Amino acid sequence: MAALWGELKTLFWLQGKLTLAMFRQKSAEGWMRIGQMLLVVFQLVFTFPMALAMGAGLAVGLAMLSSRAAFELAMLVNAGMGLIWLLLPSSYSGQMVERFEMSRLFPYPISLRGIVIGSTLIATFSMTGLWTIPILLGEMVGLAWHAPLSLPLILLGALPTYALLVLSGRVMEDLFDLVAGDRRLRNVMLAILVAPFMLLAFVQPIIQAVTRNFEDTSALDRLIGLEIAERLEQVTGPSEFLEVLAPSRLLKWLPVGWGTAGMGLGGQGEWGQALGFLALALVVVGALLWLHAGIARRLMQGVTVTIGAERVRSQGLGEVRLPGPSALWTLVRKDWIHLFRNPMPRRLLLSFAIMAISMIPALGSVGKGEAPSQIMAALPILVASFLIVIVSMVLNMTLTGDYFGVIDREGLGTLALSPVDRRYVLLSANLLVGLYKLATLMVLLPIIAILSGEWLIWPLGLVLGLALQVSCAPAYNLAAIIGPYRAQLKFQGRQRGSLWAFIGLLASPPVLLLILLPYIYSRGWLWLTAPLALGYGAAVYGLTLGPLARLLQRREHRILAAVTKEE
Amino acid sequence: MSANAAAIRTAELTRRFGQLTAVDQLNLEVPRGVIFGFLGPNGAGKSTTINMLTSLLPPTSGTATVAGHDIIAQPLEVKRRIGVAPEGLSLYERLTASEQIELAGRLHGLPRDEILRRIPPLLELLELGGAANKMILDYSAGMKKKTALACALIHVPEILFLDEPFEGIDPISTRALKGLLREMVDQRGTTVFFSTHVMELAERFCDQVGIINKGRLAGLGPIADLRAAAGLAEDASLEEVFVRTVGAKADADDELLGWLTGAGRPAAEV
Repeated sequence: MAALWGELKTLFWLQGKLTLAMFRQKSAEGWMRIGQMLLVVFQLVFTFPMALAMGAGLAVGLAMLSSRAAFELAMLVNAGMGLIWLLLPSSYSGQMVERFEMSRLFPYPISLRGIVIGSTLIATFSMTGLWTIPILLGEMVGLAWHAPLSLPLILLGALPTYALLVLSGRVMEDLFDLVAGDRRLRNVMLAILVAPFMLLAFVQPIIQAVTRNFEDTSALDRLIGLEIAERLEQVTGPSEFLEVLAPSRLLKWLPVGWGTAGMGLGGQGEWGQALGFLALALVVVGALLWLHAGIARRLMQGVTVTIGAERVRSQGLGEVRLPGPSALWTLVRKDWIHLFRNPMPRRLLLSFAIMAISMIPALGSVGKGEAPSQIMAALPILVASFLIVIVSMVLNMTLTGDYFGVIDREGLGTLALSPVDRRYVLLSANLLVGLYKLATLMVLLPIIAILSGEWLIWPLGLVLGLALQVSCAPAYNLAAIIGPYRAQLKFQGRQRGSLWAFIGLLASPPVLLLILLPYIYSRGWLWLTAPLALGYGAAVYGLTLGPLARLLQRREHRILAAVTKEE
Repeated sequence: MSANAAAIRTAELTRRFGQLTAVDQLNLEVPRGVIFGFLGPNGAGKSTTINMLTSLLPPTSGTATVAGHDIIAQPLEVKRRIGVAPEGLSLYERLTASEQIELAGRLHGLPRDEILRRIPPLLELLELGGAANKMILDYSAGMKKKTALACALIHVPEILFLDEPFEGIDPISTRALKGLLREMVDQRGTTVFFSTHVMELAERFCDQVGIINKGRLAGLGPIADLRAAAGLAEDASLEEVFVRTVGAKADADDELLGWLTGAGRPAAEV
């Protein structure tokens, strides 16, 4: 027992250090250091008091609701916390605080019992744990306010609820540890975790489309139940709203709901059900603990789950003899392969594609308004321009604006050591992003054209997209050269390079004016202004390519240092 | 551990990963109080062997004892007696070097006062004193390796397992560390089991070597014995012994690599 206590003490000490390390910042220079210090002060002042305030606020809120509504709200809050704990390995707090990775302790003489119990208990000292306790305490106070006699049951229910939350997060972390040695499996797990949230991007446009911009809510009513929908229309306050909506109807099927039902149903006079749910919650806690111990044992024995290294086919692009300098096509081939094999650009491209697709339902409103006719006539090109600028901005900010941090990274050393003309490096990067952008516009523009009945939008939009790409690329190239950063596969809130990329917008007004003004006022001029827009773009690009290439050459060592720095 | 017992003894130790046999019926005996170099080409099974001997990976079959304890039945007893600087280093990057070493000491059950007494000279020896309060994620690869070595040393282990211990470490620290390890071996009877690719280092530093190739032990003993077994002269280098024992191809293929070596081409063209 003394040995176990010693191990637990050390593990608590470790987790405390890791949590406090969140407030230490990586080494930085000059104003960055001052900014980091301010951030630390902000975190120190607000993080913990905020958690306490949330708990207190929840207690007051629950006390102000009716007894039933308080129970329903507690159900919702705990379901939300359950989700956060499940997402812990990929969550913001999970990334701010270094993970308590069990496998790093295995070379030391620590027992399985110590690791299993310790890793579960110390989750209390993780950021998520520190937020969960005040919230649960707030729930306990709020629920007990309505039914003081049920306090023993609330206390009894809170323990398995907390254990359920912690253990579900713990088991998720175990699963990540189990696949830690396999990059592909790790990516698959992250994708599975993140996919439901990415799909949420589609929910709002789908609801808008189904309800015809919220004019016909009958489909929504059917979804939540006609009777409930009717009653919801007549509710007069938050208590009644929660009572009618009754999220516990659905949430009581989730394990975290069982713990909450154990806490709260006693207060509703349903003592038998409360005890039943409490027993169910305890069974799940036992099962999760067993699972956690089983995975920990397997990890300690060196068992990992792997699907092996990825085998890829060689790309055929390099076998085609294309006109122009072979060095340029070699670079294009290299960038092409990286774009689709490297998880970083793959993820960026995927999120970009989802964003582009989710814009499609919003385009349904084109040409359906009741504005004056001149505005209506200009609407298709305005919508198309807005879309093109957004597509251009997002794509270039994420790719061109930090090309060396996203695509090349460690491989940049090979380029830096090679005698290749630096203009080709920039040309290759811009060519690939430009092609991807044009491919996206080829899909999106016909949709606007069909919806508005204005087919000129298609070719004109492509010209606009191309001219914007060519004229803005130098600014994004400049951003990539002067503000490179090591892009993270997981977002960590430090994407400062994107700020530099905003200067890309500065070059776009002339192109927009050359296309938009003639389209609205005199379309015959487009034959002259559209080529002029392309010419302007080509001139800007041509004039800046050489100086940017020289700047790239001069700053290569700094770029290399920035993008290869380990996080 | 009794004075006569071997520090490490393996019997038919085998580890398979699917179809691949990484370590194949390894029979090895390392006496206590020696520096033992474990040599082999890339993928020969060195790290797998070290992982099994440090109870980080269970063997598929066979047995082994380390410091007199069975690696399967008594993993904690084994870990209490060894120090390991593993291949992956296993460091918490948001701790400082001092904190990481303190963690290692605590996990080995050392009193805090003792840990705090031991850390400064260890950091000084490894020239980490100036960076002791920086987070490990700000360290260079060599500094991380030094930190892992300090973690392996803090509890004064009976046996040290070091995977490529001097790789990436500057010559001054390497020299200091080699001196320290030699003293530990001579004065305390510590056993140092380390893997390396650097033959010159093994030749000058090791009392005994084991050569593993394709998972099988190809040679074991003092370098002079291996030299004799390979049929080489007394002044033959360990590299020659290694190449002969492993049966590797030592010279470039003139026909296939003529474009690189210049062999078979007129001097003017070369």
